[in-house]
Amino acid sequence: MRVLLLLVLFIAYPIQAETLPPGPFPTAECLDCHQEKTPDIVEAWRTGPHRTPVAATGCVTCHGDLHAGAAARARRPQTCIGCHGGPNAPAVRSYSTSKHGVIATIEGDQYDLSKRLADANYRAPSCAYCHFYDGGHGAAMTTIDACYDCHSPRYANTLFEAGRRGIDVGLLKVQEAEEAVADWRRQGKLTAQEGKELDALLRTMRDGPLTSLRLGTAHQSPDYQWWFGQAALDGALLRIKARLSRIIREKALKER
Amino acid sequence: MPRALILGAALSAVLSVALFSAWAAVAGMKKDAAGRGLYGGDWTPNPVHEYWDPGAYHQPETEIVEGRFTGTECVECHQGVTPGIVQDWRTSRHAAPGDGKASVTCAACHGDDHQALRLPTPSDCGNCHERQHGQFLAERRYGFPSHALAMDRAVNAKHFVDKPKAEVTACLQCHSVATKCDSCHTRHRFSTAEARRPEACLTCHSGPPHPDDETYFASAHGQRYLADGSAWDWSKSLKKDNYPVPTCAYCHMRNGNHQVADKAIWKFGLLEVNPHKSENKVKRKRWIAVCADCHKEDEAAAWLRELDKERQNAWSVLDEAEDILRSVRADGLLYPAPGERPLYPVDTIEKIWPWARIGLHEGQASAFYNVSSIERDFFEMWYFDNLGAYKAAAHGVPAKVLEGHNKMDLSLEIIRREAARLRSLGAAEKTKGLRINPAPLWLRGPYTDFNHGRN
Repeated sequence: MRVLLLLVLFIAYPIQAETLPPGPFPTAECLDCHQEKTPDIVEAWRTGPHRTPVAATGCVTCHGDLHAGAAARARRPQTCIGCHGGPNAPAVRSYSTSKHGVIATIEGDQYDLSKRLADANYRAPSCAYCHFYDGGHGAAMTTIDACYDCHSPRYANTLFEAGRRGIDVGLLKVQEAEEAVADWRRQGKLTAQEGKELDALLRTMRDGPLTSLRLGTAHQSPDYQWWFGQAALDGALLRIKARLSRIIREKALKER
Repeated sequence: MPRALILGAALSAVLSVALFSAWAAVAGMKKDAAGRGLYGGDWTPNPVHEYWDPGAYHQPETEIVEGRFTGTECVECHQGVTPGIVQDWRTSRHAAPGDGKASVTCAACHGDDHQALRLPTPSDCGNCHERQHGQFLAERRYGFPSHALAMDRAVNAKHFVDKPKAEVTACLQCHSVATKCDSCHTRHRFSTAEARRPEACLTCHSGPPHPDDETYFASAHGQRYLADGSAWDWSKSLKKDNYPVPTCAYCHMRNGNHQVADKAIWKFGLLEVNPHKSENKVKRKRWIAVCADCHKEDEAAAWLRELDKERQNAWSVLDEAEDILRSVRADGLLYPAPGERPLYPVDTIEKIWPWARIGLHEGQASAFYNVSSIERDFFEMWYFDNLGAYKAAAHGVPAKVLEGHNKMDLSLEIIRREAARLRSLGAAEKTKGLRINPAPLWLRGPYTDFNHGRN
């Protein structure tokens, strides 16, 4: 039975490959056809974070508009980094300076990109290996199953838990800054202008070092966890406290 | 007590309990595992430490599989369980050492009893790679900076002891270069060719205090590597004529010597050194010998003198900034003052006589949190601007040297202006007999409370 099935596949494959329309297609046409051919992928994309961040994006943004090599094209890290800030953006650099990223930089040109994103088919994971694991186009964009291809569940789970706890600590720092500002504001110690300035500092703290900490943890980059993450959060926190201190000191002097 | 404070305290208590139970829920670490190093008694390790310091903390798996296995049996099963590991090993020299040698299978490094498996330490690797392990250990005699002493360096830092272990885990990812060998030749291929590539170093040698990657890649050497490097034969040893330009390992681990400290004159740019003392004269000769693989010796000597000059300039600016901070402290103008900010748990004397650490010789390396902004400014000037300039000078990137020194000059001005503000505020407060106590702001809060006593 299995032999028969293989035989059928063997014969059918080239026929199917030949009958694949070459394209080019716009995303709308990809969707029309793949709604039937690969409904799971289309549905996952529809409900996922990649759904139309910009009106003109869709399948062709990552896969190109030709059928030939469409899967392989989307598996290259270069495909992702254009939208994710370029090579020096935290989202990208936290990966490229990780051990995974280093191996992919050194060996990536030897990868066979026609292989599925599963079964440890690549020595180190690329963006797509974890975020589109086994071809998934889903909303969560990642699964710990990808880690288990190379690491023991105990190792992956322990690192995952450690990362979560590290991020929780980072969140406490942001919370400490937010509460201090909120406290000052509630007590009427801030002018509208000072409040605006402190809100900007808080926003910078969340968007900068807190984001770096998350990215560094997820991508396992020591620098983004520590220097751009935790140690930078320490700096942001104390500078917000220093700003509050100055405001209250100057105010008290003025009132006396 | 204001409502926000009560709410904050309650929230942080809930979070503390949640974080702690998550800590306890992860198995794998001995229940009574203790910290190590100078302050080992003051902290307990986090479960993940077993992977960064396996010799001290790894506990074998005892619940899943029972029995003793041969290498072939390990591979048969793990081909399905963790195919990436097996695939890596299959393409490694361990699988096919050549010269009729038997292959090095799983059991050689992990043991054959599945309930007593170990994670290999450098001494396990040293059983076969005796020369490399010996060189690695020998570098200890040169002191810091050092790969072999990196773990001691991390756990003996006061901020490592003080901060929640969940926060400082990332430190050990790099500092574990002392306690396992796969930082540079990654498991399970352990490729020498991989470790020779500059990228192998940059996971740890990047970021604000040690932009080795940025400065090397920006240099003439690095640019040539980026343009042509992927086509070079990386199976060649790190010897004269084998590579058109040097890489990190070529200069720092020349001839494959597994120690990186025997030429460390300027000590990472962290400390002010006398580059002409006798020990450093010997090190300088070693550097010139490396450069002489491609360049004239007198040219190499001249470049090193340039580096001396750059360091001298850097230290004159740093000393100026440090003097400003000392005078601010001497006049009691730091805000918060030493007694109004959290102390390290290990500082018993400071509990009686609070003392702000200012300057390198008083442990400035740890003064990057729970300090006033002028102290943080100084920390960033020393640790980021200065080290960036040093790395640029050492790797031969004049434009980035200038950038680093411009940043230092700017930091000095910021410090000067902040000191002037502290003086005028302090003077005005004195005249009016007024001082608002900063302690509530600096000694309380969800993070500060969580950190308190959780080492």
